[in-house]
Amino acid sequence: MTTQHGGHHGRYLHVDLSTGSSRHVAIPRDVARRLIGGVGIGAWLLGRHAPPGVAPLDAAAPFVVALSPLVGTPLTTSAKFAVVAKSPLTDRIGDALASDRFAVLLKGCGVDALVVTGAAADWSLLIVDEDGARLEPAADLALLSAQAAEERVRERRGDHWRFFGIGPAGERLVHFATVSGDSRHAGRGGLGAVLGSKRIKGIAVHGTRRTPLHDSERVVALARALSERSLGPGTAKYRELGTVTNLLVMNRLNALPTRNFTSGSFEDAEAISGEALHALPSVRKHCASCTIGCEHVFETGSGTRVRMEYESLFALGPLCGIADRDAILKAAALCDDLGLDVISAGGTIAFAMECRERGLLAGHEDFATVPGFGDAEGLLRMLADIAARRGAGAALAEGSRRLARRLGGEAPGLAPHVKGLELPGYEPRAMQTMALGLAVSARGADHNRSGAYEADLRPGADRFTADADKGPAAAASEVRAAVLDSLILCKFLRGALDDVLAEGAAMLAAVTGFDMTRDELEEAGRRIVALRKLFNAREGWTAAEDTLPARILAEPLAGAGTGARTNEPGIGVTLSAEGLTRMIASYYAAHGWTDRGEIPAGLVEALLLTDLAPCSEDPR
Amino acid sequence: MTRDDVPRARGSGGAPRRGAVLCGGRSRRMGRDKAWLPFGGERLLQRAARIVAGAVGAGRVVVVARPGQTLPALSGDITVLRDDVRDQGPLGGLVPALREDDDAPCFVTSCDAPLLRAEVIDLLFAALGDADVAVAEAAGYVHPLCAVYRPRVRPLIESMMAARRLRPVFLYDEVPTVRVGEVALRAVDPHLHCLRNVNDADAYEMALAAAFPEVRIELFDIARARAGTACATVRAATLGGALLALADACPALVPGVLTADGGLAPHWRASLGGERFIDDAAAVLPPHTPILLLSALAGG
Ligand code: SF4
Repeated sequence: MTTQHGGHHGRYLHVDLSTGSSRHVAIPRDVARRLIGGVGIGAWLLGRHAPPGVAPLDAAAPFVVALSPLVGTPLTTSAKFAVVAKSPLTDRIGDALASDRFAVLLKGCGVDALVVTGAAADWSLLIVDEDGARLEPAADLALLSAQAAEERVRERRGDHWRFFGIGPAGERLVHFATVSGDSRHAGRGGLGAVLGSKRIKGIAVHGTRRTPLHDSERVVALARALSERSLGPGTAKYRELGTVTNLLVMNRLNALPTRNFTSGSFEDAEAISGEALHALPSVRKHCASCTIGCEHVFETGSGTRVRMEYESLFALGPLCGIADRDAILKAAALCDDLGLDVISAGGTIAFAMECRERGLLAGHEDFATVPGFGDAEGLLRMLADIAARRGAGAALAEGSRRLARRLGGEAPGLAPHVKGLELPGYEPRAMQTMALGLAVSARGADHNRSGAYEADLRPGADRFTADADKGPAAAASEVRAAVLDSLILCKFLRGALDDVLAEGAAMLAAVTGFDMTRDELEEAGRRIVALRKLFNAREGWTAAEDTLPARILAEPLAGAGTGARTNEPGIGVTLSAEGLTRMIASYYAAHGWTDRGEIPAGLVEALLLTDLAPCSEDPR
Repeated sequence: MTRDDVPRARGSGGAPRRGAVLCGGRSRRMGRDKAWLPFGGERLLQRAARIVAGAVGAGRVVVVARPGQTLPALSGDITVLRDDVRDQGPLGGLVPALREDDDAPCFVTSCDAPLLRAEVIDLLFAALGDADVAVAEAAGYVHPLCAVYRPRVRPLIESMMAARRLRPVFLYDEVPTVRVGEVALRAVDPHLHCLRNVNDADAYEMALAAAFPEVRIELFDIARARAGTACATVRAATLGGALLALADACPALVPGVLTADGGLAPHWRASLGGERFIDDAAAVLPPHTPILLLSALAGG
């Protein structure tokens, strides 16, 4: 059976916490077609509602939850949503994805997105249902973990409600606080602090309104075929071992950031590897509506169950020089409870550890508690201090860039961030296409908005050289990621898709009724990349921000056994500033941007972005 | 086919030649079908057929296999004959091999002599002259499956088999036979590798060692989990050879990580020492460089 339109309700809910009012606002169908959903629609709403130059934690700054047309369909991994706000870490666009039935129930409220502006007078729970939005007091949820708060809310309101909210770190405005629901986090960029700045502990949703599907039979057929493929070899790695298994791979490629990027491999990698974790009892979990189930939850000796991924493993392990598997599990569990982004937490602490070892903290009494590399107890203490903004934790809670500025001297060159967002687990010197992806990403050092690492692992690629031909690969991977993040489908599904763009277009067409083609979807991806960039440009971005930490561009790559072990690839490899500039120029050119990375007016027009670009005036 | 259409052989004045590879034996001591044993990127049967074709000409090779025996993929110009020759001694395979429709002399070998050389085959054809058989002989032993036979000996072989006179020397005593001795053989094959049959695992290992260097393969993520080991050692000169040998040694890697014919499954990568990624099966492996086998899906 077909209906003319599907996939969208054609409106979003704008809640102004300061006035307590909410209203539905139309999303024109052609806008939905041009920006798909997820990070695309989210970026548009951010640009519409954020006053130019607004401070990320100012009440006027919007907090956006954007759904996608696929939410609520039987397509595997589609129960996802994007959280978009101006990031307190980067002062640029911050977007993060999460998976939960929250997405389905929010869509059931009859909206395609939620925009929250203003701030509540007291800590509150934002209730959203089919009747609109309202606030409830949330004093009893204060300083609970997001998970505990969720349990409390569902006890109170019923199990059919879903909750997405913050832990203690978000409440204390830690700049890398997460927003979480069902133990899944919108992790990067400190969006939890944005919600915290509005004194919203969380959003509870329930709605049952169905979104029509254009061609439900076709959607069901596509969903069946996709589910089948999602159980094939293209996702086997995620199902069988999860991403933790990347650790030994990265280590062997000398691409595992270790001790704040002083080495590309870690001598104790085996002891803390995914394989070592799998010696523990574990269970596999699935996000809502997912047939893959990449989440591996490990049981520690004390019976605690800890969800572990490569990024948490690398950031709380080798990056901080920690070789104690159980301590890393504890640290990951603590981050989950406190609501801390593991990458930024590990990155900021590793940076502070190096500063301590180099004597850069001398004379700063409040930094006396900063541990040295390898100090597992110190790591756990520091995580708690960050979430409590206690002692040195108060300074670390602002991320490595602000900490480095405060310390001055050589510290800024050692801080492991791009645009203020800490680097994920890919050593840029050992993966130079990825280095480019990290340098230019709109949300800062990022492995999710660009899959450029894949180009480094291609036969024939030279991952140790900053060739100009890396630009098109990085640009293309960014476009594909923008499409996936707007559809929204899980990136771990890509191994099961022959052609993300063609298959994504077919799904969209079946769900929405748009006669979407592969080319149009690719164009939409380009548009979304450009739109995010336009937001940053409005907020003061210049090409000088598209760079990497000075140490990455100055120091040759080392390995765990430099001098002793000889089988580490890439020892001594460098990535020069000139090489990076060369790659960036080819990346700008691949997108059709100017040599200063600006988007020419003609391209804005050609991408049909003129009316979607961020507002240049205060929208209030 | 007219005589002019018969592909000319290399060497020996261009007289027509043909070849036969017998693979229907029991492989009892090896414990598995020897035709399938990997050897440098190909299976033993594929290798034998290729070497023989190199000496007798394309389209001039037959393979004699058991009825129902599953064979590795063979070049399209190879004819497969089915005959159960088990328990009939080396002469058994000669009957189907020496087909009556072709009067060219036939080099006959088994599939389990991977170190056979075209030069040895040339030598035997050259030695045949007007005789009916030219057979390799070393250390007092004749090697009936490293020999050239004229098809006219077939009726005699059939009658010998009917009388259960299965020893090849009975044939050589009855028809004009040239025995090509060790000195001549060593001139083209100094270590007499061509006479080494791989009848058991040790002989197979020795043949591999004579042909290829050792290659270490490091396994990551599900390759490691499925193989139950972090590292495997195989003998190979090329990437394809190493992966085929690995697929054979670790069947659990097929099909998720490797294809049955030793290719990389989709989403899998091979890296030379972590320095560069390669996917060309023919890529020659540099000495002392391990292969890393890892998933291309590296995102976290
Ligand atoms: S593959 Fe993993 S991250 Fe993706 S939707 Fe499924 S469980 Fe969630």
